[in-house]
Order: sequence, then C-alpha cells, then structure tokens
Amino acid sequence: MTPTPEQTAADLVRTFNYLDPALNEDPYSVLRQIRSGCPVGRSDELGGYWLVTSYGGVRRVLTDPVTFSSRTLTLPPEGAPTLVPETIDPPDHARYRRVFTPYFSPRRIETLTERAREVARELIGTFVANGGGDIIEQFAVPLPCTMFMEIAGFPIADLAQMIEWKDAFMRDSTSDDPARRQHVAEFVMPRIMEYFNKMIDDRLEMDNPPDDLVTGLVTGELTSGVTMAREEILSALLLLIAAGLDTVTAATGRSIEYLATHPDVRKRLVDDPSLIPSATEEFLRYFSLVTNCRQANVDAEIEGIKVSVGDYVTVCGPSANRDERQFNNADEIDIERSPNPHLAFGVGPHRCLGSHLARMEMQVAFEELHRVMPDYHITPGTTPKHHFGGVMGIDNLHLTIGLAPTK
Amino acid sequence: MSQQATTHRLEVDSSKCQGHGRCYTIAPGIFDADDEGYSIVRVADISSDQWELADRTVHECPEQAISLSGEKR
Repeated sequence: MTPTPEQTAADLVRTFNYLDPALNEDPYSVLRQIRSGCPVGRSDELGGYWLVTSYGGVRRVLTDPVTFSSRTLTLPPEGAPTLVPETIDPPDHARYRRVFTPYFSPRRIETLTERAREVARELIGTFVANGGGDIIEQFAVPLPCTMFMEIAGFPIADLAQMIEWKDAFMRDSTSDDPARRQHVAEFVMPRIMEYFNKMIDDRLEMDNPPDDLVTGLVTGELTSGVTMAREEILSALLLLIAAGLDTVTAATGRSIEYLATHPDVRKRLVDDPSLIPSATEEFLRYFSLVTNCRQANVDAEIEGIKVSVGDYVTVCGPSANRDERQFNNADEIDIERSPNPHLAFGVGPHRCLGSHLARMEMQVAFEELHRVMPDYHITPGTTPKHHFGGVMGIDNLHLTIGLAPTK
Repeated sequence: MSQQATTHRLEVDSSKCQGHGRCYTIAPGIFDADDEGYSIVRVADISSDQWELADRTVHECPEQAISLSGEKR
C-alpha cells in the first residue's frame, strides 16, 4: 500500500527536529511537503511538540497569547532561557514592553537613519577598496551590531568583543557538543553578564545618565515607582543581543546572496531604488528566519487539530511565509508583491520590537551597497554556508565585484 | 447620470493593532503612527479615488486589524 501524502507528511513531522543540521542548506522542500499534508502535526523529537507550518495555524497560535504562553520559547524545554519581555505573558507583558518601546518606535528609528547610512557607507567603502571579500563579516554583521552598540549605549570600542560573545552564545548554546555548551555556560555567559552589570552600574552611579537603552531599562517604570529587577534587565539585554543582531545579518545576507545570483532583479533595484522598501518586505517574507515555541495553557484547537494543556507548540515562520494558500507563487521572489501580509516579525503582542530598526537597516544596506557596487557575483570556487534552527542564518558570502563572467 | 459620491468607512481595531506599521508606510496620507508606532486613522471617510490604496492596507496588515466598509464604487 502506497502511503497517502497526508501519511507521508505526518511521518515526516514525527521525526522533524528543527535544530537538525541536515536542514541547514534546504529546509524548504521538507517543509513544503509537511505543510501540504500535515500543517499541524506531532513530532516525537525534542521532548515532543506540535509543529505548525501553515500561515493560518501560525497566526492562530501567535495572536492568542492567553491560550498559548510564550514562557518556553525554545526546545527542549529544559534550559530554555527567560528572555524579558518575550517570555512574559499578558497582562504583565504590556507593562514591560512599554519600557522598551520608546527606543524602537518608528519616529525614534527615523532619527537613526542617517547614522546607519554613514556606517553602511564606511563599511561598503572599505569592502570595495579591498576588492570584495566576505560581505557577511565585513558588512552584514558590523552594520546592525554598530547600530545596536550605539542604541544600547555600549562603548563602540567593545564592538569586536560583543560580536565574539554574540557568536559564541548564538552558535554554541544549542550545540550538539556538550563541551561547547559548557564553554558558553561557564565562560561566555558570565563575561557577558559581567559586562551588562557594569553598564547598569555605570548608569546607576550617574547623576545625568545618557538617553540610551540601558538607561531606559534601568529607569523605566513598570508601575508607579517600580522598575525592572536587575535579573530582568540582564535578561532583556541578552534577548536584544539574541534577537536583534544575527537576524538582521541573516535577512540582509540572504537577500544579497539572492541579488548576487539574480542580476535582473538587482538591476531593477539599482535603476529604481524606490522599489527597495517593497523588495525589503518580500525578502523578509521569503527569508523568514524564526521558528519558536509556545505552550498551551488549556486544551485548544489549531486548524481543527486538538492540542492538550501543557503541550509545546512550535510555530515555523520560514514555512508559514511560504504557504501557497496565502501567497501566490510563494516560492518565488516578487519584489513588488502586493499584498504581502508576511509574518517575518511575528504577529500578536510579541511582534518583533526591533522591526522598524531592522527594516530601516536593510533598506539602507541595499541602497548604499548598490550605490557603489551595482554589480557583484559570488566568488567562483566559494559556496555560501547557511544554517536553519531557531533563527535561520548565513555564515559567509564571498563576493567579487563586477558582473559574473559570461560562459 | 448621477453617480452617487459614496464614501467608505475605514477603521483600525486598536485591540488588534500591534504597530507593524505597514499601513502608514504604504498609505501615509490615510494613516499615521502614534508615539509608540501604533496606527492612527487620519482619513476615516475614504473617497473612491483613495479606495484601492485603503483596500490594499486591509490586505497588507498581518494582524487583520483594518476594515473598510462597503464595496468598491
């Protein structure tokens, strides 16, 4: 008996572990198969969880935080970090979120645009002067990291150190290798925390602390006279590093890779930069990065599938944003796609706090990159390396300036 | 030949809006952002020539927070 597509998809879900390195280069073909036959399915991996791969299913879960708690964001649940305010549920969540919002509002971000442009110009100038190289390391990493240091109020001299810590934390804290996990837990994390503590202490000692994010977290009131506890501020800073740096790098880097291999699309952006905002939304959709977890507070239904109280539910953005029932030609890039109600920044009350910053940085990156480097291609003999997991990414992208040699 | 100059009522459900900002980016003449980035309707009565743009924002909003009453024309 040949199994039905539904049975095949259910079998694929049963053994689906979103942290499996086998998914690094192409998660999409298996996700497409799962989504078409079993969009809400049960996996036995990572302690057992429901995998939600449809657009409607992901919306259902993320827009109902009363039913689906975000207290455990990652699997396996043991050792999932507390990340303020993302792991806080309503009604407390809004009080915390309000402390962060002023630093990431559209108006605040608009005032940072020219500075981002300056940083981007300097980086791309060096890249061109060097005759090309790894655009991830030289551009897509330092651009958002420099902006973050300045928003947070961390001395820019500490940039290289921060990038090193971020890489160790993001790469090794969920590693299969116990030695790497131990190194992060026992060596890297204490040093990050020591650094954050010093930044907090500095602000507490100042009579007129600077108007930066760390000051905002130290002084922002949850209710009258009540500020965040030290542990909560440390957790918040860790979340901002984890959620805000590699994500912009990945979305920017994957977009540049696409443009390096699609000179026709690149030419349209070079000739008409007014297409960059809608192209950015499409890249955000197409290269959606985040797969994370919720836990059912009560028995509930997701697109007709019953889940039980206590069950973990993993929502897969990279799949939902390519759901062909929501987007025509979902597996193709259309830089003028409309409508494009993508969920790249999530949906519901935990909508990515940094979305306006991320968007601005990506748009500035594409504008400044193409202003001085309208043509480029992947350096022959190099292959970009990608990863999947909870936050999809790109590890390197070697570019040579100029059009690709014709065959 | 009297074509009725109908208008359409545009609304944002503030309990659903999460401040994605898609509406005021696409249609800054119709929407605005408040200090925290949540959507504010600037023009609630949508004329025929604004209809298509307003309707587009309805479909762009990931929160499905925008509604536009009536049919085109």
